[in-house]
Amino acid sequence: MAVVEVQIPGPLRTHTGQQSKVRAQGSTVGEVLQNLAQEYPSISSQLFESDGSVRRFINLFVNGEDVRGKGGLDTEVSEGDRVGILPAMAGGTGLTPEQVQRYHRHLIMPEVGSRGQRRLAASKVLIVGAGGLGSPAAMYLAAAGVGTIGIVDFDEVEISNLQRQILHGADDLGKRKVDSAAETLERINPTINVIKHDEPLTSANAREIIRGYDVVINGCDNFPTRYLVNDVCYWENKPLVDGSIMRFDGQLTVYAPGHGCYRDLFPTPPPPGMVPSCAEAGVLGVLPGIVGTLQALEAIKLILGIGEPLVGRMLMFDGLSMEFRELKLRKDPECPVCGEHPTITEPIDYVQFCGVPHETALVG
Amino acid sequence: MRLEVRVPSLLSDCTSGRTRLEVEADTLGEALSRLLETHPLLRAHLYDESERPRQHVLLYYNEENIAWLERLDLPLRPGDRLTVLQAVSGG
Repeated sequence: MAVVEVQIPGPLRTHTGQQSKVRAQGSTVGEVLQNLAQEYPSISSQLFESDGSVRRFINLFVNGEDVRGKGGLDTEVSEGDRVGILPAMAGGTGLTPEQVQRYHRHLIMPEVGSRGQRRLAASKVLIVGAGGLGSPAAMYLAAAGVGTIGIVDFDEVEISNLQRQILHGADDLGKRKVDSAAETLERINPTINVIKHDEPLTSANAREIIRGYDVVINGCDNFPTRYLVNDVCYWENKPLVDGSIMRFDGQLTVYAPGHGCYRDLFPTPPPPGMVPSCAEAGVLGVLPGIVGTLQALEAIKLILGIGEPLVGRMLMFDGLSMEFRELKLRKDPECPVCGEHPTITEPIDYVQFCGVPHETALVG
Repeated sequence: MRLEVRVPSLLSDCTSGRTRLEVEADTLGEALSRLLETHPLLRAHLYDESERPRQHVLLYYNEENIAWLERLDLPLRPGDRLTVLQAVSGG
């Protein structure tokens, strides 16, 4: 007879005094459930049919493994094992049995649970650039079950991308980046919807594209697109999870509607040629992996409404000294876009604004 | 008092290849002057031809942007840090 920890899903916690974990005894999963029902009698009708069999929509896990792949109710348990209960259908999670298995590690977390997982499935995230930052962000969001992922990029996969853009592999050379990205995301999670925007993001199309999403992740590689994405996200009231990288340095922040924008920090871009691009100055391949993954995390927090989003502060990452530092950000009342008397209220010519040659004003 | 200064790796060409520096001074303003005296190449990155701070560069005194400070003759305290943050476009 072992003592195990039983993980109680949100909808059943009314029967356990709101406890998310309780202890129960048994040598098999079936015995543990019986013991649980003795301890908390009102849970019995949730778990068992009148003939004493376990209700069909109840999924059971031992240490994260579905017991159906093991010995069912006769699956043996050992001291300290974790037994998970997940009701799959009506009155339960509203998720399919496959989703319950796929997202099990999310479902047992109180911060996500079935409600959060459904919220992720209903959410739409736009990723600007299927490059260094966009790659890990898109892959983790796909794996996490974000229901719709839009990718805007008009480039083709080149061999110099592969050192850091893990959406793409050697077989993808020459492919459209959005196609290569969609194939990778499909492999990770075929249940989500990937929307390919195989075009540059421009003043003409940005509002319409961004309007269709809930959260925007900025993984672009040039200043004109950074200002364009910032301005349009502000006008369309979309939270922008902004990241940028260079060599060993990363910057990350979230511009939430009503809480300032990129122009509060950097009213104008650097003079042309003063700050090189990654193509000119280099970037360590792992660096976008770190920053892009953090962007995915911030996007998920925004969708779930949990934790403290990185709003009003900037996280700086220095990969050489392996340090994260946080700096405070403030709204600029004089900001021409989000300030008290805005003077820019629709997309401008961002290439001209940044003073860069047109051919470098690319997304990716 | 010793002020620890961090510059982005992109600007380390101006600081003998180092991203972590130390400056001895009594006040923040004095430390800034000394930083630019010791590393004159930094000046062009931090200030434009009219000596105005460049708009794509931020200087942070601990967690605060020095543009928010009313004065720069603040006495330095142990553990104080100055961070140079530059807009970068990479993604």
